[in-house]
Amino acid sequence: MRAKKFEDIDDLVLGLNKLAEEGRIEGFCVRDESGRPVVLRRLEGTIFPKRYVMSAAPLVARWSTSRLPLVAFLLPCETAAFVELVKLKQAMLDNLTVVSLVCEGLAGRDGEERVACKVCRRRIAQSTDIHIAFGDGVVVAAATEKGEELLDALGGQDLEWEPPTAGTQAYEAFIAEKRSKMQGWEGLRSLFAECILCHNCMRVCPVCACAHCYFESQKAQGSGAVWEARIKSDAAEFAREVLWFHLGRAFHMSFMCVGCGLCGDACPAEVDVFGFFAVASDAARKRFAYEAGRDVDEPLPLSVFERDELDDVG
Amino acid sequence: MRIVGFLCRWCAYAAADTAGLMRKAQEAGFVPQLVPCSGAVDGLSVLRALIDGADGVLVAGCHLGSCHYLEGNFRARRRMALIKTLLDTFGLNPEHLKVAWISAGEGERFANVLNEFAKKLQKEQKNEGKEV
Repeated sequence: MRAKKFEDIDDLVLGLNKLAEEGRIEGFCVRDESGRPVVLRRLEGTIFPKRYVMSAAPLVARWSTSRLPLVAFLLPCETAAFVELVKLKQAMLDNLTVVSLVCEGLAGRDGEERVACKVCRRRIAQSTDIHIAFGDGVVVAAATEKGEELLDALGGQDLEWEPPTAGTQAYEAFIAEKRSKMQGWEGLRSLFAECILCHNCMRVCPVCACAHCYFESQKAQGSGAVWEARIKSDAAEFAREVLWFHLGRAFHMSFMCVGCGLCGDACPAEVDVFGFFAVASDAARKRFAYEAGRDVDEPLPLSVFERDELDDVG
Repeated sequence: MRIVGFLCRWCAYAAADTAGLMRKAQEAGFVPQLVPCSGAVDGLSVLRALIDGADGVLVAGCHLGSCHYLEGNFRARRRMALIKTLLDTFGLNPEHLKVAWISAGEGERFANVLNEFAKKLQKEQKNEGKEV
């Protein structure tokens, strides 16, 4: 993989800002102090977040439809989420260049390393234009033609670079441990016992991106089943609504889960939503041999079919 | 025994009719639900039925390749495969969901599929979705 090395991040920032002045780049997706994504005309401030509080993929997806030449600095999980949004036709790759971090794991809201980052198996993005690795200097490597174009316009010292390979042992152990804890109706009920059905996990999810969500529709909520149950304090009815929401969401988008773990972080009741989704997505991934964020041209498993497959179903 | 059936309008529902016309004995606790196509059955409906305590869910459509909308049942098959995978992963018995392809004329087969499904469910562990 063709790459360039910069002694300092400032050299790279300088080069990119020069391109912005020339009008070749219209904007950059970076972070503000609190770690939230913003799109700026000039590259300044924090490029990658110190604390992972919010995914940049939905914001970049919205900007990408403007077809302005943008450069988005994304974490590997955000890159994967963005690729999924492209497949869902909610984002465009036309003029966008994705620069993806070779990630070492980030801190959460509380400043400690996140559980999702500890067991992450996507430290290197599989479908991106440019990889960026920090360490001894800054290495910028082009993975696509679009990436090479941008790379050619920058200074720096040429070198060959290959992305490192990441282990998945921690992930496999995590899945096996979590899965054993959520078995049967009883296991699921105790897992979601604290859930207050606030839908935070759904809103924060970068790939749960339907413009009109069924669970927020009149049909699911306005019929009053949920609210009636709340008013009557019918715990059993409420527990079933909770199970339906989480299992239903697992059905709708578990195969697209990128394992960012934001759902777990966003939960005010500290339900292990991330563990639940990691287990569900692992199963769905294996069933359909589908990997979220692997390739833009790989179709979503529920959007296509083969004539001869899945003979065990029916 | 409560079995919820999502029956496709063009084949399986007509097959249920045919079974009735042929005076075939059918499971008494069967609740048929007319859907336009098996491909229109969202997993949410299946999950809702199981969570609300149905002992079994039967999703039935046209034979593969003879869907009225050409490809609806192929899509249904993928969806139901995902549901079964999820049920299996979380230790909920995937046998509570049955997928069958039955054409409009196969009344006898419809009754057989339904009765066999009911018999099988009696041997399986009861669905405890509703028992909190």
